[in-house]
Amino acid sequence: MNNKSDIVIHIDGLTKHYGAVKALSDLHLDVYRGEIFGYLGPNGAGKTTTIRVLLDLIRPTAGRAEIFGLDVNRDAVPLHERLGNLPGELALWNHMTGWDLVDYLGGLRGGVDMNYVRELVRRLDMDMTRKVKACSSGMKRKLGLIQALMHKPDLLVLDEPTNGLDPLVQQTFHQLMREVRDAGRTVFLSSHNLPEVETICDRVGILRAGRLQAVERISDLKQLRFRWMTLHIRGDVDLAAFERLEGVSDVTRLVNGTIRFRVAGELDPVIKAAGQYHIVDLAYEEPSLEEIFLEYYGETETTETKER
Amino acid sequence: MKHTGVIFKRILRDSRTAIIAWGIGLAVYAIFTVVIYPFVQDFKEINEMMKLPIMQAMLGDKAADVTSPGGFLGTYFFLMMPLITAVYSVLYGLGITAAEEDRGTLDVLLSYPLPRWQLILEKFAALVAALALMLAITLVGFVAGMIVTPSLEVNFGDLILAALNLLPINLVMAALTLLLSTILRSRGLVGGIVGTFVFGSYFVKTFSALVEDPLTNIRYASIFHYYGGSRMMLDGVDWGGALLLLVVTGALVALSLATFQRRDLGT
Repeated sequence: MNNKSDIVIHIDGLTKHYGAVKALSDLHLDVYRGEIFGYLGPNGAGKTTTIRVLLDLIRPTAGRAEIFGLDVNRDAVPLHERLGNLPGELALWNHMTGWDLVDYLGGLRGGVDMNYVRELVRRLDMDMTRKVKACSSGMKRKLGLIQALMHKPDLLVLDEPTNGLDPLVQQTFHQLMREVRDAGRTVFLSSHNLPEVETICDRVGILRAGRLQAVERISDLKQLRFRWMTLHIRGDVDLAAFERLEGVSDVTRLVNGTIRFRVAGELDPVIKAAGQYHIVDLAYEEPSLEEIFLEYYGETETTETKER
Repeated sequence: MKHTGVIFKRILRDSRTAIIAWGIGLAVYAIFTVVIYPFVQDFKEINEMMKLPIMQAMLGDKAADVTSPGGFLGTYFFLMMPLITAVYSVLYGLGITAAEEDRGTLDVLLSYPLPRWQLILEKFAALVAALALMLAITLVGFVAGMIVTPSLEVNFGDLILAALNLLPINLVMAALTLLLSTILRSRGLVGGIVGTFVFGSYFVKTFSALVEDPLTNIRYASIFHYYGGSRMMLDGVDWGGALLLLVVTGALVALSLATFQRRDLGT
């Protein structure tokens, strides 16, 4: 991996402004063949804008992007033959059934492997005879996944793919993504959900206010991360006993007997210290992306960017 | 150009209920018009009535002899038809890009190996087919009406030509709607502008029949002038005018392709 010839997506100085709103600013990014790349950022960071430029639905203000060495605008048609897309806000034709959709979109695409479609339908447990208008948002999402995957494209571009999927289907989705990667194909997926990205992605690009803040390997990211822990303890608590622990910071008393603090690294010291008390309850929270940015980059940006 | 005709076929399939419903509606209109003919036929005074300024203002023509079969159908059917079919053509024009863009389905379609221009051309071709099917059903209505009304003797060929002449004016209205909806982002605004244009155009033509030279030349600004009027089946279809409408249609569609190709979608 990481040879020049393995570059699937090459983004060079990509900028998109809507009037005074800077949706994307000077974005540089390479995504390589056979990886699952997570494009992570809070809502409004510019994830969807990036994806819509890659799909030639909107045109950049400056800079350019290539996929498989083809210009995303000039060579859009041949490029789209090798690409599967799931829009973030998926809209489908209400009067069609799932099978109608496969027939229509499959006709536009050609090369659809119907055996694979039936396998996807079975694994995602989708009722394809139901009309789109009678589908829940989770079911529409499944239809979106089926149409994105049905021709086994070399590149999958998925905008918030698991939004609205129930946990069981999310598991299936993760498995499908691993299969795609193992077949040497590439996945570019956007998300605002760090744990999910950690679960399936190899690398992650962190976008904030239209700027790419960092590109990290997931394995590196995991070492840096922290979480919040809340302990509900019966009896008196000595805050200092927790403050002294390695990796613990920001210890605060919420109400009598309830304390909250940040933990980085291993949990063992915290668990052992807590063992001396009578623990009524324990809550464990993932940090928000904002907190991770603050942690890693120690700065806040005030520029508000509207996601398109 | 790959997978040609997929959009065309899908749109026709999805429109089949609308096509049949519109066709039946127009056929019923045709039958009612035809069976009224015997009552008008012997009522020669009606021709004097048709020359009244008020009638001229409504029909906008050097009045045809409405007691003759061709003049009757021209005045009572074909003259008004574009105002009726305009509803279908303008709504269809809004559906070519604007409706799918608003709904978001365009984001799905255009991430497929489908050039934007091909999407527009296939949908426009499907409109031609839909109108032709609708008018074919209408002609069946004429035949049914004429069977029970033997006194209405018209050449069936002339009737087919008059029906065909409805295509160019409808295509111009749809193409104008398409162009405006690729430029403006509001379907309501586009519908309002085109509706005003169509009825305004009809008014300009009727107005031009009431005034003296040189003001009467404003008729050239009306699409209905090129469509022809109540004398269509007496004097024959104005094929020059029809051709001009088709050329304008082509130009409007070409401009739509150019604007739509260049711009950002859904923003």
